[in-house]
Amino acid sequence: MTERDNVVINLCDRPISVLQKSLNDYKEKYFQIGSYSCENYFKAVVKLVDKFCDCKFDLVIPVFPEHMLYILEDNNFKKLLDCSSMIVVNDFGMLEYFSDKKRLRMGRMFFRDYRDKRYQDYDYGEYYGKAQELLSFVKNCGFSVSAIENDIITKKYNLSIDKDFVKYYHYPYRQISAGHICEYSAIGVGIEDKFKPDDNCDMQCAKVFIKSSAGYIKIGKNIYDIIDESYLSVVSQNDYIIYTPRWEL
Amino acid sequence: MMNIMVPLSSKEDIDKLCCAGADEFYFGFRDERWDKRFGVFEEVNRMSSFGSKANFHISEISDIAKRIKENGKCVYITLNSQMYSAKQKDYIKSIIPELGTVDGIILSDPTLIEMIKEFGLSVTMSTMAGCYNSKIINFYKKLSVNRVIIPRDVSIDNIEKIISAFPDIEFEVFIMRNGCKFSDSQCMSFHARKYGSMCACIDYSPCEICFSGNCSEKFRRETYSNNKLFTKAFHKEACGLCSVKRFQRMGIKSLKIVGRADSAKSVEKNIIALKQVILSDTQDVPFYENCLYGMNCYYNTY
Repeated sequence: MTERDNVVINLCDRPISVLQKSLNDYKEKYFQIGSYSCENYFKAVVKLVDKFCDCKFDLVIPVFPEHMLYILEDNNFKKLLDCSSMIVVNDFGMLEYFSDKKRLRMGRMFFRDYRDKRYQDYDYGEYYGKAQELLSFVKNCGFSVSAIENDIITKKYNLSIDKDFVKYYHYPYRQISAGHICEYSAIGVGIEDKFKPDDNCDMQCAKVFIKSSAGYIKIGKNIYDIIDESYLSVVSQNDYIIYTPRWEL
Repeated sequence: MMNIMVPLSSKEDIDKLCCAGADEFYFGFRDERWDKRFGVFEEVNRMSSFGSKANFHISEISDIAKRIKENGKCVYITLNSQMYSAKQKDYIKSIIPELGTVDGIILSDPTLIEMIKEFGLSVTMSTMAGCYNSKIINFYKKLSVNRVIIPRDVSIDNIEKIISAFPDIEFEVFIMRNGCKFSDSQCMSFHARKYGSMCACIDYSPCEICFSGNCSEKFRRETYSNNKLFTKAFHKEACGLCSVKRFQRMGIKSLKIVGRADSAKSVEKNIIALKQVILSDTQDVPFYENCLYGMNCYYNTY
C-alpha cells in the first residue's frame, strides 16, 4: 500500500512512543498527524513540533471542547500549522477559523453517511454519497476547501462531487463512532470521577485497546470497523488513500 | 422560567404530560412516500428506525401540533438525520406545509437551515450537529439559528463558558433519561433496526482487551473493572437533576427529557420531579434511585 502513489500514512491518534518510532519509517513519505477525536492527545503531538518540521505532513485537528480553544494561540501549534502541507478540520468552527489559511481538507467527521457492516444488503450495495450538498453549502459560505476525506461507506460507494475537490479515502480502519467521553481515561480513577467528558488523563489509551467480537475495534475515543481490499474498488487513480498501518501499542 | 422539553410518542398523552409540567414537545414522523422514494436505509430523522414506536404518521402531525398549541405549549419536529441528498431536501420542502402550526424544526444538516427559515420556522441545531464549542456555535449564529442543543458529552463548566458568549441564542440541555456513551453527532451506524444500536452490540458482546507489553498487573485489573463499568453500568439511564439550579443561573432556556420511544408514564414521572426542582427555592433534589455513584450522571456532579 505504501508503494502506491497518492497515499497518506495515517499516524493520527497513535501512541506517542509508537509515533516517534514510526517517524523513522515514514519520514520520507507523506503522512498525517494529530487527532480526529482527542484534544489531550493532540496537545501531546503539538509539543513534538520540532520532530515534524522537516517532513511533509498534514495536520488533523479534532473537534475541540471549549476549554481547549486556547491552543489556537499556542506558539507550538502555530509553528506546527506553518510546517504542515494541509490542515484537516472536522467541524464548522475550525473550517471557518482556518478558511483564510493554507490548504484545507474537510475531515471524515463532516461526512456522516451511515456505514454499518451488520447490514450486508446495505454494506455491499450501491450508495450515492451526500457530500456534494455539503460542499456546495461550504462554497456558498465563502470557505475555500481543496480536498475532502471520507470513509468508504459501502463496497459500491459512489462519491460523486465537483472535480474541484481532491478525494481522500480512509483504509482499512473505518470510523463508526467517536465521543468526548473516554473509557480509557477512567482506568485507575475512582468511581465517582469516571467517564467525564474531555477529562484529563495519563494517556492510558497508549497501553490498551479493545477488540469487540461484534466486529469493532475501540482505539482511544474512536470506534472503527475494518474493511478489506474489496472496498478499494471505489478509489480511482487520482484519489488519495489515507492508509492506517496496523494498530500497535 | 426554564422550560421542560419532552418527547411525545402518543397523542393520548398530550394532556397528561401538559398537566405534569411539560412546556415544549418534540417528535418525529414517518412517511411511506419517503420510504418508497428513498429506500428503507434512508432515514428522515435519527429515530426513523424505531418506526411507529417513536414516530407519528405524517398525516397526524398537524392535528397533534394543533392540540399541543391549544394547551399553550410549543412544538418542535425532528428532521435531524446527519445528511440529506438534494432530492431528500426537495421532499422536505414539499412536506413542511403538511406539518401545520409547529414552532420549529430540529436540524443536524446545516444545508437545511435557510429553507426552514424561509417557512418562518425557528431552527434548533440538534445534538446531532455537534455544537461542542463557541467557534462552532458562532458559525451557526451567523446562519441565524434560534436555539442550540448542547451535546450530552459536554462538561457543565464548558456549557457555562459557551452560554455566556451567546446571550441572544436559546440553549437546551439534556436533563433526564437515556444517556449515550458516544457523541450523537459522530455516531454513524444505524440506531435500531434488526441488530440494535452499535453501542449495545459492543456492550453485550465478548471482547478482547489488548495490552502493551509493559502493563502492570494492577493496570490490567483496573482496565477490566473499568470496562465492566463502562459497558454494563455507565449511562444506562441518565439524570442531571443536581445541575438544574446551576442551569437556571446560567439562563438555559429548556431542559430536555429524552425518550421518544419510552413509556409516557415514566416520562411523566420525570417531568414532575424536574418541575419540583425548577420551582424549588432550595438545592434539594429528589432521590434518584438509579444514581449509581454518578454512573448515570449527565454532568458528573455526584
